[in-house]
Amino acid sequence: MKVVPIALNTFRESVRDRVLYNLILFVLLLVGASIFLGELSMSQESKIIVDIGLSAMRIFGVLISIFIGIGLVYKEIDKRTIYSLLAKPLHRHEFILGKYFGLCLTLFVNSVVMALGISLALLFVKGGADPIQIKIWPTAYLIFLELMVMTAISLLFSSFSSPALSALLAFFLFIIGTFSADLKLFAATVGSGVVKVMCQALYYVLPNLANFNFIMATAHGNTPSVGMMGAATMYAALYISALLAATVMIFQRRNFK
Amino acid sequence: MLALEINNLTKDYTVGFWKKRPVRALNDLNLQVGMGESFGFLGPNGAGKTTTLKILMRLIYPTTGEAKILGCPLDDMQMRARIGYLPEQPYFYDYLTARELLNYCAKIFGLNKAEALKRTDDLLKRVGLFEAADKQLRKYSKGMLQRAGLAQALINDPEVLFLDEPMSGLDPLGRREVRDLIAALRDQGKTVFFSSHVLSDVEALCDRVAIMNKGCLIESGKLSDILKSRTNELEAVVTGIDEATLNELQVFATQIVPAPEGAHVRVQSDKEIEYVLSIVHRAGGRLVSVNPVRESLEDLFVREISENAKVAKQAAS
Amino acid sequence: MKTSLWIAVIILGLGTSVVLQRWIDEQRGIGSAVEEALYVNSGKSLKRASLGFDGLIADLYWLRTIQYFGGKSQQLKGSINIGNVTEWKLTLLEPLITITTEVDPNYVSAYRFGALFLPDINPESAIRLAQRAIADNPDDWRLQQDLGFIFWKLQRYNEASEAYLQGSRLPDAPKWMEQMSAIMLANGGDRETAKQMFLRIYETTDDPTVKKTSLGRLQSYKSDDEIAFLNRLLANYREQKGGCPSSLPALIKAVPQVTLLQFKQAGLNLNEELMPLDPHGFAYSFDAATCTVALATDSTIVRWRR
Ligand SMILES: Nc1ncnc2c1ncn2[C@@H]1O[C@H](COP(=O)(O)OP(=O)(O)OP(=O)(O)O)[C@@H](O)[C@H]1O
Ligand SMILES: [Mg+2]
Repeated sequence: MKVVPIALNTFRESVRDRVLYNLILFVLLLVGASIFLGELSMSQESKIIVDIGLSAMRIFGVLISIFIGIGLVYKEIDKRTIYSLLAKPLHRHEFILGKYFGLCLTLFVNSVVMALGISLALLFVKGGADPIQIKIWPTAYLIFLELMVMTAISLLFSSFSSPALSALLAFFLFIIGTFSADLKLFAATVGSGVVKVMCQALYYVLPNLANFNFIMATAHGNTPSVGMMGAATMYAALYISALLAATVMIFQRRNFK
Repeated sequence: MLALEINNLTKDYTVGFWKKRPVRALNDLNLQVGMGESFGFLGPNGAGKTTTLKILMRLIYPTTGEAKILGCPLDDMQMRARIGYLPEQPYFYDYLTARELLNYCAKIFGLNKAEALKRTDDLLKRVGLFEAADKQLRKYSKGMLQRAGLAQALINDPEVLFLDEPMSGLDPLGRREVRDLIAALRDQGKTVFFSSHVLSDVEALCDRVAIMNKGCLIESGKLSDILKSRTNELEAVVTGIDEATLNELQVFATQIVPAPEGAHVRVQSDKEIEYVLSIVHRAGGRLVSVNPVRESLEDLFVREISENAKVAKQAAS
Repeated sequence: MKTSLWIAVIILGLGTSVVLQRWIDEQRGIGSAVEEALYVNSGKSLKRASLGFDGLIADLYWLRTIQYFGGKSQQLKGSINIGNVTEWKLTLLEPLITITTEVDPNYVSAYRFGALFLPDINPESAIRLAQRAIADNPDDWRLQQDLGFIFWKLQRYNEASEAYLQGSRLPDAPKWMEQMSAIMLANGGDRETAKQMFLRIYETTDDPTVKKTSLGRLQSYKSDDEIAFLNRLLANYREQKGGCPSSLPALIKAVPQVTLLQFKQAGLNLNEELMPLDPHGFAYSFDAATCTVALATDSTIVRWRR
């Protein structure tokens, strides 16, 4: 499978471009928060660590997904590195999938290191083992799924629009996706036909990122159920497949000028 | 089997943001290149050379027409494994070293590790990058990038090579090296199809050439046939003669261009050159060189374009 | 690869994800967005975290509040009875309104919404909310009216009177605020007072839900009055004729023309057959056996517990 070398090379690119340096910022944030909380000796320490840690993981991850995700293919075309590649025995869809999974690999490493960091910080504030140190992992996994969806969204946008517009659109979808449950509520309460149907259609077509967001519940010591995790995984897989298929379709028609 | 066969290939680019209109970059191109040939694809800037190569490499899709490489349609993956391509002004992942780039390309061709390592080393030596092999490509000069590009085009030991201006950006020595490299490939029996707008690069290497202008094929065939040396005109470069002698030469020459310490004298045939020689000797001058006069590529373009213009004018009236 | 394959992947992916999403939503129950309110325990820290978008966040929570309320009323389809919110188990209403008003302390509609519905659910937090509303918006007399309303509901008429008095001194306060203050002291527990209260709320609110609710209560009071009145007419009829009329129109026909005109002016609705209708247009039901009038069983007039 030609996807693997491309994915690995994409991963190598992000490592050499120092994308993972955001981890340093993350660790500083966590350490800072821990020390600060230690000074205050508040009762909610572990909740706050979970909140800050997982939220930072999500935000950093989304920034990487959007900005690197948009550059993934755009940069290859802009710098013409794609020319010599596509002349080789390589299908365009293999190229797209390789680039996509390469960035996902980067995000995976990023997320794992961050989750480890949160677990360690929790070990520190709790002064020993505590279930919460394990409970963050399912939530971290769901955040990673969310990042995979966001990467696919960025990739799709970058396949037909400029980087600036793509970033804007991707951010827009991220916000809408986060609050999509509100869209559903709105559809449920709104009376008239057309608006209701539109809202419902949007609700189902737009990415529902709320499926992946259990940060607040985790901070309160709850974890998503196994069924919910399975469903979220399935949802991500289906949605990402659709996004990637659309990207490939657009990409296959492109002329590289 | 033909190495390359191009039939009625046309490419229109659409330009303009609001008002889209097509611009013809390639107009009904027909071309055939046999196996083992080294073929020069000539033309001034904007002639459509890169456009043709990009179509062959599936980077852009033709408006109409089709092409076959090694008898296979362009999207045949097995055929893709048997060709190599050097893009115009190549640029590669600048965070990789040349060695890593070649290894990466080898993986895409599905070469095994040992084979990849061996070929990488061989090629690095062959293109003169062995010393710089472990430097990141962002630290490479233009010429070094060009060499790295050549190396990656050769990683799969291709039967047919497509090179888009392989000599551009190289210093005279580098030009020479690449020329020798291509000559060696040709001698190995590879088919080399390369574009250029510099005549001297092509002269030494090519069996056949095609000349393009504004998207149209103007001529194709043996270079010597195309460039009209059909006149037996010769040019002698002489030194150490005075004004009076020059006047004397005027009788035999078709054209005299004075040069420092002498002149370039053109004559109709080798018969006249003897008169010129004796006159120069008599006057105590010296003959520096005698060469057949050949049309330069530029002359050819000028001639072709003016002929085309004439045809167009006639057609109009 | 074939284009049709990719199109199939798109359609299948999106299609199946819709089915999946429905399942997820079922699992998570109505409005996972609202569920969040369980976890956000301080609107103040939310305000800080909103990075200056607090207006937007407040709007979002206000929308969620209304949608939560609307969603609940949809769940209880059939009984469009907004009369008695106590039965709705609106556990999240208080946190949602609190968050909205903590993020934006000037969100008057949110405060007023809370004043109407919270007393039935949690009287103490209703009072606290109204007092915070006044503290943050000291110049808005309508908030004093709301506080008065809450106290009246809790039958704390002295405090209610005080609230109306305070409100009547604020700029633009209408004359009736002062009158209300006096009424509270004199006869706070009166039915007439209750009607006044809801009439005023009906008049002063812009919120459709609040308007609808207070109108519902007013219509309910009106139908009570009409039933009492019709029963009185029946009693008179029996006294004079020694028996029950065959139907309500028969009763109405027996009434002198002049009196009938007066009934109509008083707001009693009659259809062409002279059948008396309740404020929602349902004919009153007449039980000849007991010779009494009641609301029709299918009438949508709110029957709230008192
Ligand atoms: N992306 C594009 N959009 C519009 N027109 C284009 C595009 N690329 C090339 N062209 C036009 O197509 C024609 C052929 O260009 P092409 O690059 O093939 O020339 P070339 O022979 O390679 O020239 P050079 O020697 O300068 O490399 C030119 O007129 C050029 O302006
Ligand atoms: Mg070119």
